Amino acid sequence: MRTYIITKLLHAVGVALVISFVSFFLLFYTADPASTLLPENADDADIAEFEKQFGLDRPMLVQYGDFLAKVVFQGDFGSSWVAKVLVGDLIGVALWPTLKLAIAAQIIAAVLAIPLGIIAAIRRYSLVDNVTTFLVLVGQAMPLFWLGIVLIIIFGVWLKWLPVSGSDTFAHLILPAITLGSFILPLNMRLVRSGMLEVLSQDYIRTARAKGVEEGRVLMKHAFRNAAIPLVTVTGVQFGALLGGAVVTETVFSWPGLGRLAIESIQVGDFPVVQAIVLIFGAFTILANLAADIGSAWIDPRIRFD
Amino acid sequence: MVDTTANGGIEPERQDKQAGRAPIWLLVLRKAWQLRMGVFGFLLLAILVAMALFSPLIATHDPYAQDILARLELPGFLGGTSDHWLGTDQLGRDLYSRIVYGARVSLMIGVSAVVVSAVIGIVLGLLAGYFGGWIDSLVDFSVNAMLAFPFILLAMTLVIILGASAENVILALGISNWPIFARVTRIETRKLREQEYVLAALAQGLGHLRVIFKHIFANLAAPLLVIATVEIARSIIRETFLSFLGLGIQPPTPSWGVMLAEGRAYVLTVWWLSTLPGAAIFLAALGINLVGDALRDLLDPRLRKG
Amino acid sequence: MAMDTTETTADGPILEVRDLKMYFPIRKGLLKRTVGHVHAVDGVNFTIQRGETLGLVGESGCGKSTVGRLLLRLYAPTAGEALFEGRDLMAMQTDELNRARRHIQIIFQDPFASLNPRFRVKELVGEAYRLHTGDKDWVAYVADLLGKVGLQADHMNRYPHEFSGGQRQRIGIARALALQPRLIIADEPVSALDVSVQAQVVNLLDSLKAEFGFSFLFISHDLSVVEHIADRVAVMYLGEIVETASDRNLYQDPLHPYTQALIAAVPKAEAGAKRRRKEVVRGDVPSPINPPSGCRFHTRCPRAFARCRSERPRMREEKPDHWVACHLYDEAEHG
Repeated sequence: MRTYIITKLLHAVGVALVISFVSFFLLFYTADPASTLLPENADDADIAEFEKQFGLDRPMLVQYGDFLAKVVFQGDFGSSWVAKVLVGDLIGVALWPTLKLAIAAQIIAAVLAIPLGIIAAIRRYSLVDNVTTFLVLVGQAMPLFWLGIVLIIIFGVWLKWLPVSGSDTFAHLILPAITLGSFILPLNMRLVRSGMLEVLSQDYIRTARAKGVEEGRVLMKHAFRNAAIPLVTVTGVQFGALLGGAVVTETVFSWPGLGRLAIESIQVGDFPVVQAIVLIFGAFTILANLAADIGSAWIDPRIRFD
Repeated sequence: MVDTTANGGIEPERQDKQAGRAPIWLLVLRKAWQLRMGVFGFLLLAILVAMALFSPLIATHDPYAQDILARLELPGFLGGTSDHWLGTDQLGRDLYSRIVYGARVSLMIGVSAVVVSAVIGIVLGLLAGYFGGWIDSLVDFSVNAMLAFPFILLAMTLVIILGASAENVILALGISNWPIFARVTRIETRKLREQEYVLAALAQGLGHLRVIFKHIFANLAAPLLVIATVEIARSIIRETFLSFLGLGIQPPTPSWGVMLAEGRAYVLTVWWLSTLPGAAIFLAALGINLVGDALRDLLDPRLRKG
Repeated sequence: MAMDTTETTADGPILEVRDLKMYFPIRKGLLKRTVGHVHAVDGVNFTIQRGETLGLVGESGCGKSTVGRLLLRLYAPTAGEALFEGRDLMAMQTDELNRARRHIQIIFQDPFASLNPRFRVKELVGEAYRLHTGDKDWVAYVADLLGKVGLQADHMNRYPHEFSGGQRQRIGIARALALQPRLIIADEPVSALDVSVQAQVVNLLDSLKAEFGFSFLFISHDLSVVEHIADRVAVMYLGEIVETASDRNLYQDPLHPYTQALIAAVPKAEAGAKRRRKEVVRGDVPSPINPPSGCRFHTRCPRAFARCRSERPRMREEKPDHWVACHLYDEAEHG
């Protein structure tokens, strides 16, 4: 188990390094901060001064090494070129709204997916099963930003029940959370259902039933716990999708999170901010993958020898 | 390769038992439901393809023709009386005709992006799975690193580097999405590599390229086709989102994403301007997904999801 | 139709295997460190004379199939040589190897797994022939071959799943014959088939050998099948060959206790067969990851003594052309 964790850990660190390097490399050759950020009448001296201020006149590898060292040892992502404040401060403000949104969406998805998936698995071919299948298909075809706009029109404009943008109160959270939740719901439902189906056909479930264990107990205690393994495993992969969905959702609802910050920064060419957000999203995804790997190896020891 | 049960390898036993228990009428209903969904999907896809191929015949107006006097006309179903049955947009262009021409853009980009990612992913997956060794480790690592990258941010960054245009959106989406194909191809190739018929081909002195393409790839084509179908739907949604953000197709080209973005300014009053192009995206993706599901059932029973 | 342009050495054995070894690494943990090896083939020596059929027998897991696949370099060997007509297959570069492979063909055990499900029979049988020779009439050639293995020419456009196990194995045989090889390796070619079909396929192989004149390595766990087809027999146990003799000598007078046990376990049909003391091999086959010291058979051998545990017995010619690796025949003890 220990070598398994160390292997996975090293792998994760490697992936993180590659992501940091590739994103740095891409943005280094894309961004032209002097011409985007300085006034048009800036002369060569101004540009040189600007580049010196941000250390942009050094070779790429030196800049990268400097950047990496500061991130790793000081948690310092540098300064924003546009807002003229520390990137860390911008991200600190935007992080919590995104987490709030992601957690709320995950709760909505879980609350719906687990019971629906279980019922669909137990009562195959029933109405609930068919509705679940249909929801999965519809959910996968639904463009998030369109769903967001439709929800805004119905609940914000027509019914006037909920605010359509901003993030001050709990009411503000409802529509974005539903939007993002609907994005991850189909996959969750599918996993719970197929996991349950597979487990229910196993011998130990039949044994438990044959021994007269109460049906509800069989389902929850014996079946669901094992069916949860694929759910745990996929959390990591799904986490990346969740962040991607957050970018879309935040844009539609003007939600002041990391996703919107990323898009705004990309659009104005604010390289250090984009760089930091890509790294943070990547790190979250890697950590989620790592937790899922280790978690599922812990639940099911056979995986370690895979 | 031995498993040819028509009802999916994962759960044949359970299914048989259930089938024996469920009343006939329910099974008939279910079959009809499946068929109906498949037929519905093919119908949607047929409409999409027809709109793309024969846009000038199906559209009623020139999608670029502006009519300042007839701006924001009501659609017929809301009591509009003009000859624009879905009304007009903020520049007086015919909404219906723009949606029809938008199908051409979406389908072209969706299919091309998947071709790009499929070619990259399949070639790398075949090489990695077939030769193993360092190339396998490299591809596996790259796939993991790519999957930890937030997809949408990567695609956006690439578009910004390359410049916003249809070709570059295709490249960006294609380059961002190859790991999906590489992962599946690599795992399946590794399994097929050990098959005796592949060993037999090698034993006959056939070259690696022939063995890889004629003997291994030919047996992967069916599952990859299913994945490609679903990925086309996802690429269409992603393209519209990029265009929605202004990073994809540029106005005045009739793209569903651009139309959605332009209509968003009018959600308070002219709600159909954004929701109708969004509905087109949704129906296109739904149709392709339903066809993908039907293909999965037809081509490879083992791939069926529970 | 003659496709062979390389010269054939007329004298000398067709195949000479020297000290062939295949250790499959067991990788584990961090950086896939190798923590052990499966000693699948551990220093195997044998020779096949031109036109001869050598039977290679042993229980499943003894490494006999690995030997067959190694000869075609389907695995990279750990050590050793395999001289095919005097040239070492194990040392060849890709191009030379691919040329040599045409002269050595393999028939696999599983008639379902060994045929590409997406190919028609004519492609299955004729693909390599067409590519290697460029023969425009390859379809006629395939039709002819199908006739020789007992199939019909009009089977040509069908797919493998349309055939029975026995018919599929005939397709596999036709594929092996298509390149007119000088050596055919048959890896348990009949053990996946029904007993009634087994005899037909063995007889077919026997008559094809007479017609085509190839040399033959016949790998099987079934001693009665091998007795029927082989000229000489090599007995394999845990990666090593323990006894080699002519077909007749081996079955009439087995020397190694393991061979004796194997033969005793075969149900005898002939009335006049010499009855032997019933010897059942005790215990399970030890793990090839940590094979026993000394003689590998000592853990199960009814006649093992101290030396068997410590010293690995060497192959000796106990009787004319009858080789055995067993301390029972050491001169010191039994001279």
